[in-house]
Amino acid sequence: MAEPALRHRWLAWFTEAPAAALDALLRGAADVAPYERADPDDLLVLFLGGPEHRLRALLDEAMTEWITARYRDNAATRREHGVSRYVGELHYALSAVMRLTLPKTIRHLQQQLDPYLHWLESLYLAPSRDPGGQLWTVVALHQSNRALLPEWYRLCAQAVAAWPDHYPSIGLLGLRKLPREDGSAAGGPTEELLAGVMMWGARLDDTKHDRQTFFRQWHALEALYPRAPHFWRERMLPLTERYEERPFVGWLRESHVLPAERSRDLKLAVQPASKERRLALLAKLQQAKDVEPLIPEIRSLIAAHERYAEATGDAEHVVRSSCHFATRLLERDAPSAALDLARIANRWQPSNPRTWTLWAQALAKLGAGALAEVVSWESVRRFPDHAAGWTWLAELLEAHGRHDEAERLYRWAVDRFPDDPVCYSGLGKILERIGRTSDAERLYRAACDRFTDDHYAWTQLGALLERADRLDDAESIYRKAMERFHDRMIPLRLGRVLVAQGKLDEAKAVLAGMVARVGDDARTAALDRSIREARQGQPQRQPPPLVDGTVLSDAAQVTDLAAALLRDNGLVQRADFDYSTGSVERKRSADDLEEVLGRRPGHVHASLVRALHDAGHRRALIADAATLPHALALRVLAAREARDSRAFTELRRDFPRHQPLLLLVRALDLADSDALERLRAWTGDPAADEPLFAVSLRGRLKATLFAEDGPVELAAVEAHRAALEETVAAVLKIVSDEEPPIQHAA
Amino acid sequence: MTKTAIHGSVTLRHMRADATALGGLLEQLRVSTLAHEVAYRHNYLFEERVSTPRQEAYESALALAAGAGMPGWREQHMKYLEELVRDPHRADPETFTELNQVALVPGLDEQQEFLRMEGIDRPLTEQGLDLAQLAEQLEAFRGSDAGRHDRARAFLEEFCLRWCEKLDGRPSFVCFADELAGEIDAPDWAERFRDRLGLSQYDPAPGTMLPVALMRYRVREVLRVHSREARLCFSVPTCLDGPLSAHFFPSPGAVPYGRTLDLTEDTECERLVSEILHRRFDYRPEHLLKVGFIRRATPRLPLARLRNQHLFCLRYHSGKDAFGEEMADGLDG
Repeated sequence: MAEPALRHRWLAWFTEAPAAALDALLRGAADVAPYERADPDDLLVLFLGGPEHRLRALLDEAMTEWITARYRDNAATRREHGVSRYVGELHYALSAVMRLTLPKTIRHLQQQLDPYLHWLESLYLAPSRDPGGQLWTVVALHQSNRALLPEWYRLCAQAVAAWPDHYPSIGLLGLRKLPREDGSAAGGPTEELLAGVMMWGARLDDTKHDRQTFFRQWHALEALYPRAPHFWRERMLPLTERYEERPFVGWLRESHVLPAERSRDLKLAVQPASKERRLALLAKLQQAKDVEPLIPEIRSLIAAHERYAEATGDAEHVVRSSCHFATRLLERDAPSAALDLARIANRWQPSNPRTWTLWAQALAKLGAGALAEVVSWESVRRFPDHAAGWTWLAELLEAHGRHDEAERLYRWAVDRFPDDPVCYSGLGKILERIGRTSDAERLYRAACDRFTDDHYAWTQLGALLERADRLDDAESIYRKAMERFHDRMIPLRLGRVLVAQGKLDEAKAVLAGMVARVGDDARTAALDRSIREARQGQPQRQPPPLVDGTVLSDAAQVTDLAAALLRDNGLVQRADFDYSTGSVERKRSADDLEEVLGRRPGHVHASLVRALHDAGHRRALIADAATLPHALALRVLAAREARDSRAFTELRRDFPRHQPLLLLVRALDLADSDALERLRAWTGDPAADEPLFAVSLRGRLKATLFAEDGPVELAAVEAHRAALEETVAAVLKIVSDEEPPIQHAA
Repeated sequence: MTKTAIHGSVTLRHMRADATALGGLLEQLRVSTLAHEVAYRHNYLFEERVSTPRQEAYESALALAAGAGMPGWREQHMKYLEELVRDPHRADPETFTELNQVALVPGLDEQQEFLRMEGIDRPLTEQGLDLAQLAEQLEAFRGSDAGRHDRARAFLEEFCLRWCEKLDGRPSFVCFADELAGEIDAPDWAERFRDRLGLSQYDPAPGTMLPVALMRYRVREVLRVHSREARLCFSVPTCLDGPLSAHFFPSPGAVPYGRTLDLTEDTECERLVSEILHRRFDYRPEHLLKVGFIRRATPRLPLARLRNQHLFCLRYHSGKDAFGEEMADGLDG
């Protein structure tokens, strides 16, 4: 006789050996008759569903362990298992967590959200085999606070361009299920939900398909939340203000959801802090001797901006102000408050490199040098074309006394960003510090010749000459710089050099010129004071300091989860840099990569870096890459290594949004002239709000292969091969870990 | 243990238990005391619609280690299903390829209507909805208020879209609407359909209910989606198209369709329902015929009795008295 589910033999096994029984059930090896046709999640609901099943806690425990164990599986395990089945098991396991509301597992997933998303997203096969999407859905349905609000907005706003088609619906689900501030259920169409609809709608084009898609979503919400027309109108109007030019607003007007005419009468209840308030506070901050009393006021202003961002998804105010005030607070030696602001900005806009640099700078000033370093490595991985990230990292290492690494970073940066004067000055400082003053001088002079529109190299050269006590030469440089530039620091420096040489009348003339040009300010007062003190015979000159950065403590240790995650990424990025620059640290790099992959076998970026720099690992990818089917970087590398045209075809099928990169690879490996022409067309036609990998790829192509207009022959690919290979590698590194931001667990 | 029959130009025969690891296991199962394990054996051996090439391909894909036993077969069978039948990336599930030509059904009248019962707890949960909300919108969709109708249509379209995009490539079991027309309006239609179609997996524990939907659509709608593969769109279910299941029973090759195994007694052989498989098909709101709960547990009848009765009916209807083999009484399950 068929056994009732409550007395099923699998339950007896599960009671005795929960881990083995659960694993067998998910693998399809368990004896579950007469329910064989049920999927694994259906089986778990069947066996352990119902109110308060006595074994639910046991399942909760076993499920957490099962997921944790899968996280440590390596390529061999996945291959042996069969990728589709392996991915299916994870998909169903997460579905069971969702349907049975397993609290411990849900907490575990929330805590490990970042590493698990990185891992599961690389396993994506299709919407029906999408463990990453399932994880997003689990956390969307079981929110106890509003911490993921920016993520839901991001899914709504960016999903159309960068994610599979069903992801905006996950973003909207997250907004629908977002609790109120007090943790209670929202119970209606909130401002956040409508803002999410707008952000998603703004990405749609003026096509019949997109219009239908929009109205399907919109009318579905109207059906779910039956409200009178004015209810929607009053809430929608203020939100549509920033989207007036987007097609969906016109659609809403045509269908009378919104009035035909634009109206500014309706304002949102929540507004960002006013510009006047921000400027007044900045002025107060500039004048204050002690900034501590102003910090609550700054926090209050940022909180107002953040409330506005929460209600509308418009994070520009909160990010801009947070970065601005964080910068000022760092200058005023208030790193703790600066760190808070940097984290807020980064939470809302992880695609903004400034937020990462500020975060690292604040950590450094707080003495958390190790963490500052890993945040900086993460920053340069994400934004390899952002020179300031590299120079800041070099500065940080230099301040730690790691001169060799800093020098390599600066040299690399000079090579990579030949038009950025900061790279030259940073390298110059290091050369000077290690006693190679003449090399530094040569470098600065070369920079002066190169940057005819930028005074930075001139002032650096002048400062070096001052420190070398070559005051005549310094004076000469400053005088030439004054002829070229109007920066207010140059006359001040010239005045000080003149004072130091005893040329007080000439210094007085310089001071007069400054006052005539800009009036009295702190700089003129300083020079005036120097001249007066010199006349009184007081000691005069203190050469400009060599290093402006804060001295860092090495005591900070990386302990918490977010930091551990960042540390792994940092180790990988550092290893990549060491390999790329031919460092003597290859052994350390190899060890670091092994360590990371030992902890996280699914770490795509680590696997990529290892394969990029090691032919043996690259060959191994031919077999292993398919076990992480959505890890574009590994799949591309494997296809290139195998020279397999079928693999290229599969890449085109599996990664429709990465066609430009794939076109470049086809041009490089298959001498595909059609691909080259399509790539040229894409390069010349940028879209709005492109993801970072596209921006980087286009920028690099414009600087090399398509530097000039007009058709390009395949011979040009050969001519630029080295640069193009570097481009492929750089883009692969960006896409190896595109999303999401590393911050939830912090 | 072999038998041949003629089906068009194709030779039908029972599958053989050769001297492979699977053959050894099937031989062991001959003396199993578990009714469902004997059923798996019978399903495999008496299946007449799996061609020799498909059987060979299946057995070579199994990679069944000697001594792996039933757990090994189950697991390897699931792996086979995932990779060759259900994989969402496969353009053609093996079920709908020439390899399965014996089972293919090339010429269905396009006007015929299918019925299919779906468990919908998963899509409801994933979309943060409950059955009451779905039922309310379905009612509004069918109602006369034009405004509500449009909104309900959008709601149901969105529901169907999100649900169906998460379906993999597995073949869908369907029956023909006119065979079950008498059950549709019954108050306990959900349980009736479950029992008639042999859907033993829809067995709610006491105190729980399973949300289900009854879907209705025409043959031509499926064909429209797969117009380029029209000849490879439908097939008679075989033991290789779904998990090893004791509530699946292969039908004799001479019978044009599959036959569902009723979960209740069918002493008069009047409850058999024809079933076939079709390729993946995405639903639209108009396909949602009914939604409701299964509240009652499945009937608890001994499996051997159910299957022997079913076998009797298959033989009776097909005139193939030598088809299959009865299960011994007293087996466990």
